[in-house]
Amino acid sequence: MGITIRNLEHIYMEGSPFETKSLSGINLEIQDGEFVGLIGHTGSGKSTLIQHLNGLLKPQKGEIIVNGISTLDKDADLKKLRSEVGLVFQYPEHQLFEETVYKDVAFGPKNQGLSEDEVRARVTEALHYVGLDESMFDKSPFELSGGQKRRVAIAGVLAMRPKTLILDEPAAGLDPASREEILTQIRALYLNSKMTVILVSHSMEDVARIAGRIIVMNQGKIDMDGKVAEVFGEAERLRAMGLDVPQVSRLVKALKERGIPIDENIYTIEKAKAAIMLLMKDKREA
Amino acid sequence: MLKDITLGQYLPLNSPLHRMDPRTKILGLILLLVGIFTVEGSIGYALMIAFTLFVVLLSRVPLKMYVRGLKPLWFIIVFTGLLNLFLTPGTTIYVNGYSLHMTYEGAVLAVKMAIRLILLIISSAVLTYTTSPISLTDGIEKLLYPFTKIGLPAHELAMMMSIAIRFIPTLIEETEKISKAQQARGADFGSGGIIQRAKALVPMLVPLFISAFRRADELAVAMESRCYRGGTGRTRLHPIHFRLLDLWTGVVLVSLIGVIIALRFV
Repeated sequence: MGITIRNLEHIYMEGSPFETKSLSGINLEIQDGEFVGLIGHTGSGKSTLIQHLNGLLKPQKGEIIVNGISTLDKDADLKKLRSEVGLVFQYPEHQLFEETVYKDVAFGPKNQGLSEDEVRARVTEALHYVGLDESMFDKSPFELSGGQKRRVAIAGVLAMRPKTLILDEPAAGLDPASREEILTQIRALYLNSKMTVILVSHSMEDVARIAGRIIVMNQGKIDMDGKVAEVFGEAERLRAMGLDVPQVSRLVKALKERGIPIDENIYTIEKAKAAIMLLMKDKREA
Repeated sequence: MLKDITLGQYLPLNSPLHRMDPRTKILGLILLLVGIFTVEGSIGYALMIAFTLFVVLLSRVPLKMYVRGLKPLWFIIVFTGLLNLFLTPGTTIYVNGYSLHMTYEGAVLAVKMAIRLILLIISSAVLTYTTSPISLTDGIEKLLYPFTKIGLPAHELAMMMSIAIRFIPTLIEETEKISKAQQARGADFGSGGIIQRAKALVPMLVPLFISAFRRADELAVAMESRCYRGGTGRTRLHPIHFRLLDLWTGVVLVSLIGVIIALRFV
């Protein structure tokens, strides 16, 4: 079914001196099972766009159809929509409120009206997904480390078993190890489930590594939309928007310019390493 | 929604009133309020209305903004007007079927009260439109300074006010964010009985309080690490000065209020 957006427009604080157009002319089609990276610098409209996808914001102009439900429809079942489209906000650990980790993660499934057994099954599953075991269930979420809190908060959304998962900067403000861990878990989650994942980030490295398709937003509009190679192939255009290509692909490009025969479409450190090792080996053998 | 609340509705324009010392404006407003509540007789009212209009024009704030400021109070103005109209004893000019007497004195009083209320709101709005919250608290601090001799913590009070004002929009923003995040997890703030609604607020209030405490803590550390230790010995980036403009404003205001009081009591 997927997500269809037609001519979406959003004006922030309309009719006041602070009026700004935060989205205009957005047309987008996201198929089930895609992994989309949504990039753009601060104020480009990314966060406004994703809040439209589960009906937190209603289109001022245009329309959005998610899994056959139009968010403009007055009878639209928003509760159902919100359990189908899981949205993890930026710094989600700031929304933790319960006494125990278990209770906090159970908040979503309980709101869905599930039975006690079903809630338990989902909470356990969600916490396992993010790598937290039973020993953590009865701890207070406030005594956990930053990375653990973040994972509890993500589990809180996963426990609702959404068909589409949207994550807004899930790795922001974490140390490199936790960052790595969370991104790996998201990747694993995507591969093991049939979820559609939309990852909002301004880290080109993160997006390049795990997304299949990249959407670039600039000044409330979609500026580029395509495969990783297509988008990062246009380094100049990205730079003009205040974005950048992954460091690795800059390195690869520089090598290429010096006449070293390396594949230009490399966007991850692992692939670059493999390619360079191969080149070195060839050279030694020659 | 929440962000429609305008507090500290300062408009950064360039007018003589914007440049004025906040102390002049605060004391001036107090004088004007005294005038508004003592004024009697048509000459007095004409003077007060003319002066308020003059100040409004001088502020260069669009008239639309003042009208908008009056909007929430129309009800009170009309309501007190009706009460005065029908409940003041005096010469009856109209009786309706429910034996409600509309009196001549009532009509006069209703108009007077309406004018007073409108003048009151407009003149307070002049202060908030032309004075930034920071210079307002600076002004209050300076005005309260003499009372530090009897143990009033003037600087601390002013600092608390500035911090409180500064954090209102932040907390509003935070509330919206948290409420959206919980709604995304299926929270429902709008339905059910009173108890259910109150319970539904817990997932919003707990994170809000935690973040308010965290911010307070961070701010305290940031202030201490920049050697903040209260008002003593502290100098200002933008010191406030009492200038010629302020002197003249003072002279005009004092004579205006003098005339108003004279008209009433002499």
